Amino acid sequence: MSGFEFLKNNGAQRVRNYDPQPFLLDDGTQETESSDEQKELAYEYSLDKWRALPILDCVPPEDWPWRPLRFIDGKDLGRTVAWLQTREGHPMPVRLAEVGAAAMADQNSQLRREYEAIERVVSLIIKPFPWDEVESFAIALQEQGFRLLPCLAEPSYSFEQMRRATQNRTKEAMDVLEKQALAQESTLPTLVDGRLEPRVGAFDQHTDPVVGLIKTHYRTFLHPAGLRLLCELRPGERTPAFSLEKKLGVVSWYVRLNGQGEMPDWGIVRMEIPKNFFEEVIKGDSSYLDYLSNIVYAYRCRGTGYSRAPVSIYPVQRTEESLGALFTPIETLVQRFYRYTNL
Amino acid sequence: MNRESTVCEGAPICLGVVGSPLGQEATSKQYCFWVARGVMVEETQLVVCESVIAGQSYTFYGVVEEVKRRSRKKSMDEEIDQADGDTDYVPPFESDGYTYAQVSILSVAPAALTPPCERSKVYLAGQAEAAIAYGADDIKKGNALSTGLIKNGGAQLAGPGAIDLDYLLGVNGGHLNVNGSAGRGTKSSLLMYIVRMLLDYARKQEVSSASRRQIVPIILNVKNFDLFYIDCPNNRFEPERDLTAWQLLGVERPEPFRNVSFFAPQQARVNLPVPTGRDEEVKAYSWGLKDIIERGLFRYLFADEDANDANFSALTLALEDFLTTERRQGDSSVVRALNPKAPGTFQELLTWVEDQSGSASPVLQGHHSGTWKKLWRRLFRLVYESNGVLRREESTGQPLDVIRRQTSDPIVVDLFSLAAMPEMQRFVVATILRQLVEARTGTKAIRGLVYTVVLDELNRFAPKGARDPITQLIEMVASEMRSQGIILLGAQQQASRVSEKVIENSAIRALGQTGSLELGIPVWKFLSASARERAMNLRPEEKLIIQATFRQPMLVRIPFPAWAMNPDEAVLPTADNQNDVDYSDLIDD
Repeated sequence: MSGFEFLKNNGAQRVRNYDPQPFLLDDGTQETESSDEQKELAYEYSLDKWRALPILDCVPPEDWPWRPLRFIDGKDLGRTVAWLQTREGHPMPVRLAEVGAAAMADQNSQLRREYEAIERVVSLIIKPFPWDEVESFAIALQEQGFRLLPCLAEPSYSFEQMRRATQNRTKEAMDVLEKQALAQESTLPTLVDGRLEPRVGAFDQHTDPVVGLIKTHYRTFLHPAGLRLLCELRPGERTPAFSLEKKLGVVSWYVRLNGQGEMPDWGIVRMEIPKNFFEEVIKGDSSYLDYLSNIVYAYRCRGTGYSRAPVSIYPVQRTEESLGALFTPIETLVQRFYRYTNL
Repeated sequence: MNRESTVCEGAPICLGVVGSPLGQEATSKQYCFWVARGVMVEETQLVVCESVIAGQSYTFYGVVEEVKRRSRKKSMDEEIDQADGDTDYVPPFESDGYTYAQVSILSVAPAALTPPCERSKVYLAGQAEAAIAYGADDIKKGNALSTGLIKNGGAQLAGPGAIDLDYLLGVNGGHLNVNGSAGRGTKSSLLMYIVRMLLDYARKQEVSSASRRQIVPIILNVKNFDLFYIDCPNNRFEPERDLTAWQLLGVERPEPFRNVSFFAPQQARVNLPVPTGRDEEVKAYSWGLKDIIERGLFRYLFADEDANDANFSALTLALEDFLTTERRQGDSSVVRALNPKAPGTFQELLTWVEDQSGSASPVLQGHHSGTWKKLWRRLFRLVYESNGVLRREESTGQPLDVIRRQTSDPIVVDLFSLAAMPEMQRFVVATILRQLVEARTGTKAIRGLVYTVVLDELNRFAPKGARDPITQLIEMVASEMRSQGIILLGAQQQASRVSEKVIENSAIRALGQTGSLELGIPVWKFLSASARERAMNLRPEEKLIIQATFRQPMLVRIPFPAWAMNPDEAVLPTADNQNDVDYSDLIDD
């Protein structure tokens, strides 16, 4: 029996492309944004001394050794292409995606892609299905260049919940690739698009100069006065740094890159660095934060053609574009999947 | 130092990779490729692309039509936003812009009408590839004529470009037509170069070869006495600059033409030719009435507007018939002679026609006295204005004789001194062509002999829409005589003003720098937009050559002539320089 019979045997049906529901896990999975973090807002300044810190004049020297020279971004492009039904009647989405990560290097002010990894994956909650059937399905997929990502979530009757679980699984696969990209040369100053915690293991938090740049803010970490300060930041200003501690201790702060949006928090990015590195290697020197902020501000996207330009920086945008160019159009991939599986 | 050089035949230089995104799809005619970093690609460069299609490897030969540069900005707004309008702002990163080029496919080996696949690598073509691109490998051995050095970008050359003599000399097609603006040496330099190469070709052939071709170049001089100095060295020729190009074309020692026969109209009342600036070696040509009749040239004496007058042309035909007696010879050829009862000179003919116009019973019945008077007026004007070329008082003159039995050095016939008499210019052209037609038809035609007639200002001799006998004669030569060995090397400033038959029958077309207005007319419709644009911006030494088998014109550089193209360039013979030109000291060992 062909491994793809698994789908038909479980009543697989195609799913049309539809607008995905808002997904809140852009820069990390929901679980990692849980509130059991320890935070210390009075890390750089006591709370009563919080004020906007101008960074425009904090231009790092030419030979400043911590200027980020590598930029890492990942991409998870896919959609739910089919759904199966378990014997218990649970609808099980099948997500097809292409995931990848790339590292762009700054070589004498020229950005060059120095690493890329891409995978075609199929994510499915496998618990309700006999293992041997799943295995033959995985083998059949592998023969066509796809990897089955077993999703270990519990079956439920909420299709959207299942869908999110499969998407989280492909996101995890992307995170792994991003970690691989980061681990290639983590001793070089590197800026990662997103939070650092999901990349733990790919760098040494005591010695590696890694910076995370978070563009989308799902949580607020600041106290009321801090939030007010955040809204009042002008382009080229930053908030004092604070620390967050969970699996990875980080020092974090906000920088406003752009002030032309309608929303009060428009154009603000959050940056974070490993706390251990900051304290042990940088010795807690605030000028490091100023210089990094100044560099990120200088690298900000200035054009209007890129939708996330107000909160993005040019090297990350280029990394994303460069990686995107390696991807297959998702509908092409979907049609190929249907042909292989005879769905 | 000579800045131009041929592409070195070392490792192939990879220029880039084929891309065919939406909107820029590759077709069987053209494709785009992105240019590798650190590589410069230029318009007119020849490129080669290997592509595997359906399991078979194909080689696509092409020419770069356009090179484009694109930043990654989607609008000028973004460009200015990047610097916030500050011209001194230096962005932290170098631009990620890129260059891509558009290529027209010239040929595919093995033959296929399909585009190359994306991701196929594109290489700079060398001399061998350039030759294949324009079908030189399809030309029969010994049948290629170098038409100049193929341009391969701004300063590079890709070796000699060849045309197939079967397309020039009559097997698959015939004739060469050159179009170009005046005053840039666009046309004459190419035509003289072709004559030179044809002569070299003819002289290199084995005498015993059955397919041997013999070339007789006839050059009609229409501007000043420019072509009366082609046997003199060119004082602007600089061996260190110009010799390499000739050598690349296989001519080790470019020299002026030798043993050129020069002909100029005879002056009235004397036997001397009109002053041409050359004191010797110029022979006079002229015709008496007897010559005209014997050669069947009478009808060519009258202008276009007269030929369109049915009554007038009927009278001239009747008169010609009256003046002519014909005798059929044993080989069935016809020999014409002047009727002994008819007037013997043009002056006598004038008097006779005047008498007839006033006579109640003219010799030739059925023609209105007004037509007779018109004939007299035309004849009177012709004989008086052309006094010299047409001998008034003498029955015979010194008719042009351009017939040869084997390869000969050029024959230059001056038409410029007849510039004030356009009818006579056309008459002279007609007499030459008539001679050639007679020599090349019938049993006396010599096998393999080819007359090449260099004629500029074709618009004057075969204007578009004209139906006079001279235009018809030129059209007949263009459409029917190529296989008989009469080849027109014609030229004009505007092909749109020349008989379509003459233009369309030219199997080889060449374009020098040409105006946009001219290029906008239908006769140039077959050229791509980029070729038309290129034709507008050609340098004097650059030509676009179009042969029926080319998918795109071949851009070549014609070597600088070693012979004078006008009196100012001529190094006239003196006691010191009468020896052959010797460049040996300038050629590296």
